[in-house]
Amino acid sequence: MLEDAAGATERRSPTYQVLVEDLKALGVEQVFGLMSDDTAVFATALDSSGIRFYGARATRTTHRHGRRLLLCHGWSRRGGDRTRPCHRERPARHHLCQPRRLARADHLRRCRGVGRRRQFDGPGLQGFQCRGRARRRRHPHLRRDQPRNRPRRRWPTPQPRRLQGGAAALLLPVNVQLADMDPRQSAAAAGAEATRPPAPPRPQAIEAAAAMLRQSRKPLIVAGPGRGIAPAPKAELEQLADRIGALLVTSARGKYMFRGHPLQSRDRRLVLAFPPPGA
Amino acid sequence: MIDQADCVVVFGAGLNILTRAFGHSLPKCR
Repeated sequence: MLEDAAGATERRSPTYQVLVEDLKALGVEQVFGLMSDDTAVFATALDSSGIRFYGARATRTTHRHGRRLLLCHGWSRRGGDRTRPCHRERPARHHLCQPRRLARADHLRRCRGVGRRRQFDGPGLQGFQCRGRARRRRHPHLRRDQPRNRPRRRWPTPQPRRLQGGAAALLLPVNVQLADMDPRQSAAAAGAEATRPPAPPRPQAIEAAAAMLRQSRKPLIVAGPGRGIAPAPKAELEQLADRIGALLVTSARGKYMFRGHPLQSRDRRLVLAFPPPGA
Repeated sequence: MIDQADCVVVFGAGLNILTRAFGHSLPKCR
């Protein structure tokens, strides 16, 4: 979006788009995250920029949220890539910042046979906390000799681990993702600012579209924010829909574009960003 | 109501791999 502010041209973009450009400038090639309505806009922006997004379906309990983050963490450590798991659906919780602590709890639950074991496509949790168990199995006398109240080993804090290129949890509310900001404030995205101007439409295309609209009785308008092409003008499209009685539908990235408009379709099949249950 | 449309005009939108419905809700072109 181009705006004139204080006599100078200021380029403003949504926060999720600036974040995607930052990740692209950092050389990130894969992103793991939970797939939900709140992350759909960010995930589709990642996909449009060429960064591969590995989405997991959101689960109900926060414990499984943490487990999925751990799976991403293990994938990152095994592959050696600089991956960035993203998580947005719930507010910040303590266990999300301590993946090793959650892995320990999950490992103990498996050893006791409590709970239901689930199958995932990604790597398992065996590489996290199984060394201590194997050592106790080989040397059971070590456990008896150890005092009960020995000090527990302190794991390193999450912050240095993040700086080493490990996993990081990103918590962004939807209103923060959709808020406009100046991408020049982001140093990493400075090199990604070069955008080509949108090409003007051909008169023949406009005439053909107008002719089809004149002949149609139940027109449908599909709109989106656009990427590399001209974004859909919101006010003009609403006026056009009011005039011809067209139904308004948006893509996944533009799902809040016509919020509250009476002609906006409530059919979510087109903007469905994750497979329906049973698919 | 989407599948009853007889004319679809698209502005700045597209279908990608994350739109798992693959546009099946849109009417078929003849």
